[in-house]
Amino acid sequence: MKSLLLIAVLSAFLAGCLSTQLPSIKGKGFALEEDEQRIWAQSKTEERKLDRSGLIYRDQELERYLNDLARRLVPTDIAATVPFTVRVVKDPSLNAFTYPDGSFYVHTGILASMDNEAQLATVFAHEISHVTHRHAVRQIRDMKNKTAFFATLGAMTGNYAVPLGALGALAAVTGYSRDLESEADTEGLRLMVDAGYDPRQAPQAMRHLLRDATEEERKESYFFGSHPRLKERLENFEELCRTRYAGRTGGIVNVEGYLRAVSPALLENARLDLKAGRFERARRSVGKYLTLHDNDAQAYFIQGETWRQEGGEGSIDKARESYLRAVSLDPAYPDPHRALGLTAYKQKDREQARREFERYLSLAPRASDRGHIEELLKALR
Amino acid sequence: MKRLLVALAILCLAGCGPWVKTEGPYSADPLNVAVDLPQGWMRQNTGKHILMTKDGVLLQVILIKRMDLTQEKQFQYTKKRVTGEMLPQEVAEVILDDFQSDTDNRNLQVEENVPATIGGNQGFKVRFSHGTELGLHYRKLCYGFLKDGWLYELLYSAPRRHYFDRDMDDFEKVVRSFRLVK
Repeated sequence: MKSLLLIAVLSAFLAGCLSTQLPSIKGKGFALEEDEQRIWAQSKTEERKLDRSGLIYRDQELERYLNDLARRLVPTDIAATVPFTVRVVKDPSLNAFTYPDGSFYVHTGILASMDNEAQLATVFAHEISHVTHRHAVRQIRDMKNKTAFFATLGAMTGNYAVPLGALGALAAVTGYSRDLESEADTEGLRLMVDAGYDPRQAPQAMRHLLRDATEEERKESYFFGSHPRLKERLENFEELCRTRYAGRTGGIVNVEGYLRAVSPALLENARLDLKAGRFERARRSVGKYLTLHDNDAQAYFIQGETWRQEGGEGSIDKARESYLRAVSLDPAYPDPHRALGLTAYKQKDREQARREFERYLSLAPRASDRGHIEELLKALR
Repeated sequence: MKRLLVALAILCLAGCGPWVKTEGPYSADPLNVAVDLPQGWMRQNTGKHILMTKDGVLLQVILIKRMDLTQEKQFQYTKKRVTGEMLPQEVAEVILDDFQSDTDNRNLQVEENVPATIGGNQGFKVRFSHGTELGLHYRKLCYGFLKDGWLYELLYSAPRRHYFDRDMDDFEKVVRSFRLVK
């Protein structure tokens, strides 16, 4: 009886089942499946919305650099079929995502956390592999199939015999997603190596993501989805480097070119991290920026703000040092004077506080917080 | 915007206190605040905050709340903390930073950030505008001050066009009437 029921259920299920075993995208002759066409159309709608959202970080030079990097990773025959384009999202969280049609969005947080081009290539190649291996349509089909399976089984057995229920189905789907992520890791690493990058930078990219997950006390990182866990993935990358790519030493790393290209985004990301109270991360971004732009007053000001706002032992001295450097680089920059005034005010150095506040207001007569500063000046006189 | 709707829905449902018509003096002892409520608005008091609206929470809302400075997680989006030693403008900046760290809030513009006295307490008044995920434009006015280890906040939020100006006087009257119970 049990086997008859099982056969009936499987027959009903398979009749409406869509294949999740799709070949990867190739060059000429490739055609989208019907449901895939709908997914691509939906992608376009969402991309338009995102592009108009005000969240996109606009920097033509940076976009050009990132698009060139993507082009180096995409196999030539596929590039003719899927036009990969990269945009940057103003968001300090470590995330990157690609729509099935090749539109790729990378957060400023990812750009700030990577040390070199090869590490970013790890992220890009992983995302490109999701597209070339048609993971979106495969996952959606898989979810649909599982839902159909459990609905059929439930209908025939009066629901109580459904082995997993909705949560079980979800777990199964999540498990499948894990396979897709692993596939994207393996394929991504292959693309990266084919493009001439040093594969040993891939585990290092994962270590940055792990560090972020630890600092943010997240169980898992955003990027690469939720499964497999980052540690497992790091181990996978390390294993691939030890085995498949054991002989591959050297390759492109490109620290300086990378930092030069992404440096404006580093400062933007530092500002976002500062607002979010992630002081250490903000300082790391500023630190990277300063390796190439040691004479940038804004960078020193942001660095000072991270110390002042974080507080703690010795932080005020470090903040003052950064503010003074900013002032020496650009005496007409108002913000460090305000910050120096606030630190002096709190340390009850009335004379310096008054001097700095007056300087601030003379440099920024229409400052939005003028009323507050005037109130403090009144108290100091 | 979705998060805003969810947050508002939670605010409305939290405690499931009834909506009642407002008017005249009102004292919320658990919050340690007393205010004169405007005529024609609906009020809900959950014990953690007082929420008021006239035409619905998406069209205008007045929120009065206080936060214990010792609580572990002070804000939803920023890890920064408000401490008792902060100057009013520093407190205002943390509130703005929290708001800005929510990616659903776009293009925040601070229009005014000045000292203010609320119920005899030295604090701040910040007016700012922002867009939402759905492309709506809101303006907000926030008063706040620190007292005895608590941050008190009075917030007014409405669509920038038409509603903000129309109902702002009602909010300002609430602010002028504000006092601490003890």
